[in-house]
Amino acid sequence: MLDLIFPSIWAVLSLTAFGAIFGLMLSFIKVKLNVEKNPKIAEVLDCLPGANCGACGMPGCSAYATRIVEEKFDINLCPVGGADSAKKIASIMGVDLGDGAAVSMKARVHCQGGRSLTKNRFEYNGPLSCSAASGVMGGFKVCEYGCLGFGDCVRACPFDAMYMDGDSLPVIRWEKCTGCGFCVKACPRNIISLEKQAIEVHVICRNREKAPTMKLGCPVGCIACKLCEKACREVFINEPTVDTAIEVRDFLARIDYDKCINCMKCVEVCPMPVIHPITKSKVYLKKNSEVPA
Amino acid sequence: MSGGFRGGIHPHDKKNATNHKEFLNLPIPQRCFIPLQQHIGAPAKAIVKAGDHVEEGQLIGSSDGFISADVHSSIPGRVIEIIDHLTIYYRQPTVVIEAEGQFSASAMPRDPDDWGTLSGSEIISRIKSSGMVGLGGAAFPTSVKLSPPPEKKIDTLLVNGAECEPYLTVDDALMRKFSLEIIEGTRITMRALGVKKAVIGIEDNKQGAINAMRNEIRSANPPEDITVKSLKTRYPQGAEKQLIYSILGRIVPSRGLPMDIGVVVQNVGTVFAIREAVVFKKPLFERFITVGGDLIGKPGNYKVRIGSRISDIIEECGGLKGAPVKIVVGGPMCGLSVHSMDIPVVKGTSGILFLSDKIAKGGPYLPCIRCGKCVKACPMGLLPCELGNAAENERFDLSGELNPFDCIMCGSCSYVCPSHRPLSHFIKVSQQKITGRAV
Repeated sequence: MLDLIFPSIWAVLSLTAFGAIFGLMLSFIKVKLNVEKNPKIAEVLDCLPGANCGACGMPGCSAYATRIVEEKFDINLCPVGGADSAKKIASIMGVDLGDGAAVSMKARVHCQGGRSLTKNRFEYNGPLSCSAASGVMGGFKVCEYGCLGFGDCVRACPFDAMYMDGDSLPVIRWEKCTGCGFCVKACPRNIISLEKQAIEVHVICRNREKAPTMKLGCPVGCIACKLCEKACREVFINEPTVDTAIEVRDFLARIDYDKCINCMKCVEVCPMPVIHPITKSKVYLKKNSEVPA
Repeated sequence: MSGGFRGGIHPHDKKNATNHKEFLNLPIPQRCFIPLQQHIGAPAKAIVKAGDHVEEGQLIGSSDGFISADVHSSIPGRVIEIIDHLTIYYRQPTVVIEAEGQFSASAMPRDPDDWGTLSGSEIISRIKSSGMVGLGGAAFPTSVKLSPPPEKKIDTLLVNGAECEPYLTVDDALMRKFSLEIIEGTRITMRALGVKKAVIGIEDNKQGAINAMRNEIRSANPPEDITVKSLKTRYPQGAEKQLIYSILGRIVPSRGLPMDIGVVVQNVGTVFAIREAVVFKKPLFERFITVGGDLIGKPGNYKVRIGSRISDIIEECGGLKGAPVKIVVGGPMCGLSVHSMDIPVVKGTSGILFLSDKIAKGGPYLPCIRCGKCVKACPMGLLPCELGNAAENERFDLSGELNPFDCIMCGSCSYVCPSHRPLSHFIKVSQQKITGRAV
């Protein structure tokens, strides 16, 4: 009768027995070989964004959390979490977060010479990546500093914070950018940099040639006219410690982000315009007002 | 056994236009652009400055480091400036010399010391001070190649006259015209290395050169064991590792050097120049090149001063018949295509080709269709298709496992690919990404 109801009674019994034995073994091992884990690791891990991007230099967030707790590692290394997560971690770890730590950074593109504007020296048929193209006689563009437009930076971005626009220039989705810096490393031309989020101003050119040479290949580069530098000196005229925040060196305007106060004076005077945000420049406004609405 | 390496391809050799031509001298340019790096290794250091007067053959850049080579002035004149000028290695510091004054080095008398009385190290020091580099194309400093570390026992010298690149005929013409000089150069090189055996390998599409060399050996009857070996015509027969396998049946270990298996390979052009450096103490300031391609008026083999720009050469070679789509410095397989006529001829330049759009087809490449032609063609037994796909998807971890460093950059894979994929370029990108060198 029993055989009819449970034709495989032995199978059921033996599996149950095995289960019980292995269960006991596992719980014994759990007690016997337990590794004491610092509960802080889990707390720190909760403060980290969990993107596992590797921008801190560790294989992922949990590795970073472990090193913070166990090796008292620097807590400012996560560019994604930024100041928020650094503050939380500081309170967990009971350390002082120091001055100026973990300023939120954003990537900026320093070129506006898209494919339709710039001239090429030769036709390039090689692999479609910027690093391959820049290895061939210094790139196919006349401008040896400009964006090659194959999107190595976009492919390197783990946060979908970049895309190539219609003119083969990378655009950063400001709200998604975490400042991890992968695009900066991917760019063979050093066109992308990380700067403080609070300061909007940046020069959209990397060309260090004199204006006539630069103009051979690109109509929208920095011509090193120094108008921005003059305007900036006027802003800081009563400031004894700061001379100017924007300076033209090697025929290219460069901004010192420690000094810049985001006043937009340089943007307004730039005749090209080549300082971001160009929509605030006088030249841009004049040009666009001439166009009938 | 000859031509016994695996893979390889049969491009049309296109040598008919120039292989019967004798050498012509190109005029000395009014201005020479002499790059300080014309070789593999550290660039030379400039020892002249703007305004200095230099003699023909005077040292203007001294070698900096063990793997480096001296650079000499090709013309007498005045140094105008030292600028960053376009070269085949992109931009390099370049000494610009304006010609003036007397030519002295071209008609040097034979050195009274017979080279037979010189020791090996004396020969090598003369070669070193002449700034000699491999003239086949790679431009590796010759004195370094001839000074192997003592634990490496060299037993054979191979003289590379394969010239497997299409279009190029300069080595062929050299062997036909200067057979005696090449044999003397071979004997000098053998003495420098202290070896008793030398083999001159020549592809069998150059019967004239094979016969000339064999006859010369028979009549000169040198005391050393020098033989000529006829090799099958197949690209890349003239690549170092393939040549060694075809002639001696020895395999260079992966990422090793020929000296690891007791062989040194020198190009016939280098051997010829070694003779001039040792016998006449003449620095390397001129070389033979093939000027070819379907758009040049007078294709041929020319003797040219190092530092002449491509634009200086065109006029004398009959001008251009149309706008070239591609200008290649070197052979069409291994050479580099350049975009500017201002690029100077350097020590490693074996030819300049002006190609029309009929020959140099451009255009975008297509996806890999996994036909395996590149695998069959690869003389090193690599998987170019897989390397290409890995590099295209930026998976350099995967391409690193496929031995990209064994690639000899012969371009056979790119040549056979029906999708026109730039496979050797992909492999080069892999190499650069893996070593982390600036691309």
